[in-house]
Amino acid sequence: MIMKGNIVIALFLLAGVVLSPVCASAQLPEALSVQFEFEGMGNAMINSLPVYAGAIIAGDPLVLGADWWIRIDDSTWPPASNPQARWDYLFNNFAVHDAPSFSWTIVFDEQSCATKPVWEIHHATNGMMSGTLVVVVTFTDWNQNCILDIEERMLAMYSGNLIVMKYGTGIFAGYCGLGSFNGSIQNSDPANWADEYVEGSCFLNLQNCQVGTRESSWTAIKSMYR
Amino acid sequence: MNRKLLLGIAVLCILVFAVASVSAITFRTERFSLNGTGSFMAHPPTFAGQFTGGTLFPGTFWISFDDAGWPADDSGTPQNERLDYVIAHYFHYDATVGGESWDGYFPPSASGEPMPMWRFYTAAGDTLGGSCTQITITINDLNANAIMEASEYAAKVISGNMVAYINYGGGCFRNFCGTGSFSGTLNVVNAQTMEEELYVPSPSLPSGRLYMKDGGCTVGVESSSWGTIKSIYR
Repeated sequence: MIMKGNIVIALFLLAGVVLSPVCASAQLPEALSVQFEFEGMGNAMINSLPVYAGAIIAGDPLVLGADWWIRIDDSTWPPASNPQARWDYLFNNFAVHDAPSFSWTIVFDEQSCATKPVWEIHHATNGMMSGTLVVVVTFTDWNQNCILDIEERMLAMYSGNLIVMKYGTGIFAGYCGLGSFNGSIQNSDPANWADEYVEGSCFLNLQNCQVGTRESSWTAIKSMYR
Repeated sequence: MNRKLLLGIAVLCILVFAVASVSAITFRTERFSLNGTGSFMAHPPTFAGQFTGGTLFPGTFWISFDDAGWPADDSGTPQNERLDYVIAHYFHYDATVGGESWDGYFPPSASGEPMPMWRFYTAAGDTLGGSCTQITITINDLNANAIMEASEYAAKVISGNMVAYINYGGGCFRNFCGTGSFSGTLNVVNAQTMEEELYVPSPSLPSGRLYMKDGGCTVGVESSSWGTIKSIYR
């Protein structure tokens, strides 16, 4: 009787050993694509550090309802207490005017800022993911006078790409990857440094970065570019 | 008294005309998703395909890069000279720990080089076109060794800002100009030909945007007309 009980326990443990990897892989697929839409507010002129933050309002249920933020390193900018000086500094040092397209483009990355901008998405139950990003903002010279008029600062387009670092939590633990995003920035009163409304779309391509052998297999591939 | 009355009438007329001219401007927000193919090996490198969703569906598109100065690949050498040039000229490496990657800017910032061009053609006969003020392509250095492996290059992300010119507008966009943005992925689908797939998601949730207007598209518009419009796209 005792012998039979031991056999049952052994079989139970064996089943547990066999099934546990299956369950783990079911929870963590090798690749995961996540698309969503977001909106939020921010003000780079009167707030330091500039933080744009909001909520994910549509798209993949994995992130629907999550909070998001991006943060830009402003350590080299004039203080937020002087928004005019801050704007002038940004416009004079970051904005590149392109006459043929009647536009100005500003790039926020690790070359224009002291450090690369960072982002985070936090879902109350599914977990958190974060990483770095590049943000590209374009203003249009609607009246083609080569001057960025105050009215032309009411609407700007932005786009960018992001890196998903493998420091996520919850469902996103162990994932890393790439993403891209785009949308618009709307400012109802740029002359008085009003908060900016941002809306946009984002697409994330995630993969399981927890597998230790993955790194060694990547390095074994013949390199293309040094 | 008469002079004051005339002055008042004149100011009133100006205000009425100003409001009328502002309200006469039509604003349109277009959404789109794309799927197409192309290659940086082609001359010029052009990615073309179909709308898969959104307000411009059905229709076709193309986005073309300026390849002036790009060398051709020498089939007699093991390396790809053309792709080597593209990586070296447009991309830079970011060594941020945990986020190691290459970011490529088309055109490079402040270079003055020509921008990529784009055109949209709807099946209904409407056309849109212009340039991309910047297209950004990012490649993940997954093993953080600062060497771009073929498998890393094969799975990229892409995004860009767009300007739409009135002279490329046709059909219902005949008098329109505007601005927009898009984002998606750019993945190698044929390693032999280096053909790549441009995907801007998605049919059910189109992520591309164009904000169009049919006023102020030519030189000489009163910039103050924009000032009276409040939060036009909320």
